[in-house]
Amino acid sequence: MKNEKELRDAEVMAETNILRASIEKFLNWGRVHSFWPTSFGLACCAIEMASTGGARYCLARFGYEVFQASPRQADLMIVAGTLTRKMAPVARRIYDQMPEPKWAIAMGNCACSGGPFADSYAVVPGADSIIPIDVYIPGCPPRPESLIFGMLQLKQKIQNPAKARLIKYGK
Amino acid sequence: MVSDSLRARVGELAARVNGEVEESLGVLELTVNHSDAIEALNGAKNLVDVPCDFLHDLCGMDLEDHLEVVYQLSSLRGAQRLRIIARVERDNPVIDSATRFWKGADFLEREAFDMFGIQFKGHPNLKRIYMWDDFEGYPMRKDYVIESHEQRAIMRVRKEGE
Amino acid sequence: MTIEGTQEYSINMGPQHPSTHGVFRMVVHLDGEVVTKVEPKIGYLHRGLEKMAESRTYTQFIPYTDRLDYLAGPHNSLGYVQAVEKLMDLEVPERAEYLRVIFAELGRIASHLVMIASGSLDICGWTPWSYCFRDRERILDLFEMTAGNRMTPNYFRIGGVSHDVPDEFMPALKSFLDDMPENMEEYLGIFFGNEIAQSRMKSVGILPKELAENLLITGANLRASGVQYDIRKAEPYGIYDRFDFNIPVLYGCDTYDRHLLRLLEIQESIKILRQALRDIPEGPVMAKVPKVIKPPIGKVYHRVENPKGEMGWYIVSNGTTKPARVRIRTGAFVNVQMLSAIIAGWKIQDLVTIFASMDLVLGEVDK
Repeated sequence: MKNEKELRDAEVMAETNILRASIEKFLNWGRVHSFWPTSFGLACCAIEMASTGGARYCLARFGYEVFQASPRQADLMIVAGTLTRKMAPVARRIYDQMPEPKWAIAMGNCACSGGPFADSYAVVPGADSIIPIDVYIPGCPPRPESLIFGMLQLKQKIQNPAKARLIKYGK
Repeated sequence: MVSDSLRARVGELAARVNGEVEESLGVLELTVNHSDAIEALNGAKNLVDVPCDFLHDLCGMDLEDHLEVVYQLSSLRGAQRLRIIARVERDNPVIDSATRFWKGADFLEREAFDMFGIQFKGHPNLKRIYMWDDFEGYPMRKDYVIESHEQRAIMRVRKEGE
Repeated sequence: MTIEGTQEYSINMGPQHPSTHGVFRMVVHLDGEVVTKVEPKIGYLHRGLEKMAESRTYTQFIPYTDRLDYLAGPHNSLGYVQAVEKLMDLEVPERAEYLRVIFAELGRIASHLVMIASGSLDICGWTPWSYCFRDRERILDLFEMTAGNRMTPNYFRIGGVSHDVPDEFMPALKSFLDDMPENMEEYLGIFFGNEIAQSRMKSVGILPKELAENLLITGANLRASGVQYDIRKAEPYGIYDRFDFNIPVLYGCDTYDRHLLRLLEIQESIKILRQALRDIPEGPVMAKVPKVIKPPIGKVYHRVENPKGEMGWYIVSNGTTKPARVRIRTGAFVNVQMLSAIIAGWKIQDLVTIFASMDLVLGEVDK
C-alpha cells in the first residue's frame, strides 16, 4: 500500500522542480495513452469487456487493446465480474505481481459493492476491500461506452493528480 | 400422463424397497429410506419395458427434521419419468453413492456434500467442490448463518497446495 | 510411467488464464508433453444463487437467472418461469409464447456464436472471432431495443413477458435473418474449411457414446457422439411442438464435430425463428396473474434445452411467496466431468481445443 504523505511530497517536489515536472508530464502522457490491461475477466462483465475490444466499440483507437495474459507485463487491472471469497487471494496475488505504476478499475456492480450478490455467503462485497481501486464503473453489465468513459476518467485522473486529490479530499 | 405400465412397475419396485409412491404434477415419486436407495436406483434402472436409466439430477433438500437426496430419472429412449426421494438422518447423513451406476454423478454428489454435508459412501473423491477446502459449515442448510459484510470483506489466507 | 529422458510433473493452469474461458482452474499432470490426468478445480465464481433464491420472491429471482449462462441471456429464465407456471397451472397467452421462443432462440444463436468464436481464438484464429462478435452485436441490439439491457434483458415474467416489442423489432429481426445464411457460408469457409482448424480438431478428443451416457453428458456434446436426444423434441415445452425443425446429429465424436454441430444448430434456430416470425399472432403478452405470486404447495422438475446442455429447475414450494428450494441443474456443471474422462494421452495443445469444444461457461458451472 502506498504511503499518502510520501506520494504527496513527491508530487510537490515534481511540480516545483522544472526538469522533473516536465519529465513526469511526458511519462504520464505515455502511460495514459497505452494502458495495457491484464485479462482478469471473471463473469458476465468480461463478455462486455470483450465486446469493447471488438470491432464496434473499438478499444484499439485509444491504445488499450492489448490484453496481456501475464500480469507482469500489464499496468491496469480491470476487475470485471463478481469477486468471490475463494478467488480473492488469487486476485490479490495477481495485483501484487503487476509492476508499478499500476491502477485498478472496478467494472460492474459486483466489483463495486457486491452488486446483486451482496448478501451471499460466498461473495466479497466490493473488490475494494482486497485491491485499491481507482475508478468505479457501475452497471450490470455496464455498456461498452461506460467502460471506455471509465478508462478515459482514469486517464484524466493520472494526468491531473492535483485535481483528483482536490475532488477526493476537498482541500 | 403416467403410463399404466410405468405405474405398475413402480408399484412393484416400491413393494420391494418399502417405499411409498405418490404422484405430483404428472410425475411419480418414490420415497424410500436411505438404506434402500441403491436398491431403488438399481431397480429403476432395470425396470422391464420402461427403464429409467438416465440420471438427470441429484440434489439435497433440507427439511426441518431430516435431509433428503432427490434423484430425477428418466430415459433417453422413452418417455418415462421417475423421481426417487431418499430420506437421510440429519445428525448423521450417510447414503450410498450412485457413482457405481453413473460416473457422472461424481460432481453432483460432491456438490450435495459441500452444500448439505451428506456423506456418500463409496464415492471416489468426496471433497468440497464449490467452497474452499477449509470452509466450515454447510451453506444450504436452513440453520446456516451468513457472515456479516465486514467478515466477508476480509481476505482469507490461501493454504499451500490448495 | 516415463518415456526415457522425460519426467512426470504437474502444473497449474490457474484461474487467471487466457485460454480457460473464465475462472476455471485445472491441475494438469504431464509426462513430457503428454497429459496423463487433469483435475478440474471449480468454485471460483460460486455466488450462492440457490441460497439467495430462498430469500427472494419468485419474481425477484428472475434477474438472477440471467446471470447463470450469461452468453445466452434470456434463455435461462425460460426454464424458471415455465417451472413456476407449471406449479401454478397458468396459461400463457399465444403472443407471449411466440415472443419467448424468439428470444430463447436468439439467445441460443448468440451463445453458439461465442462458442465458435472462442474455439477459433484458442487456436489463434482471430478473424472468426471478429465476425462472430459482429453478428452477436446485432442480436444484442435486438435485446436492447426491447428491454434496455444488452446481455441480461430480464424480459420474461411469470405468466408471459414483461411488455410488447417495439415496432422496429420485427423488421430488424427479419433483416438479421436474411443476412445470416451468407454469414454461415463465411464461417464454413474461414473456420471449418481451414486446413489448420481441421488438422487440429479432427479425431481429437473422442467421446464414445456409451461413455457420454454414463457421464450424464447432455446437450450438443451428446449429440455430437451420435445420440439423438433433444428435449425440445423428446418432451416439448412451450410451443416447440408446433415448429418444424430437425435435430442435427453427428457421429464423429471428436472436437471438430462438436464445433460443427453448433453451426448446424444455428441453422436450425434460424428456421425456427423464420417460422415464429411468420406465425406470431397479435394479442396480450401477459396472463392474468395475481399481484402476489404464491404457488400452491408442490414440487416440479422442469427441463429445457439450454445451449450448453440440459437445464433443470427443481422448485419446491411451501405455499409462501418465497420458494423453499430452487435447485438449478446446469448442463455445463455436469459436462466438466467429460474433460478428465477423455483427456489421457493427448498433448497440452489438444487440451486447449478439447476444453473449448466442451463449451463451458463458468456462470453455469459455478452458479
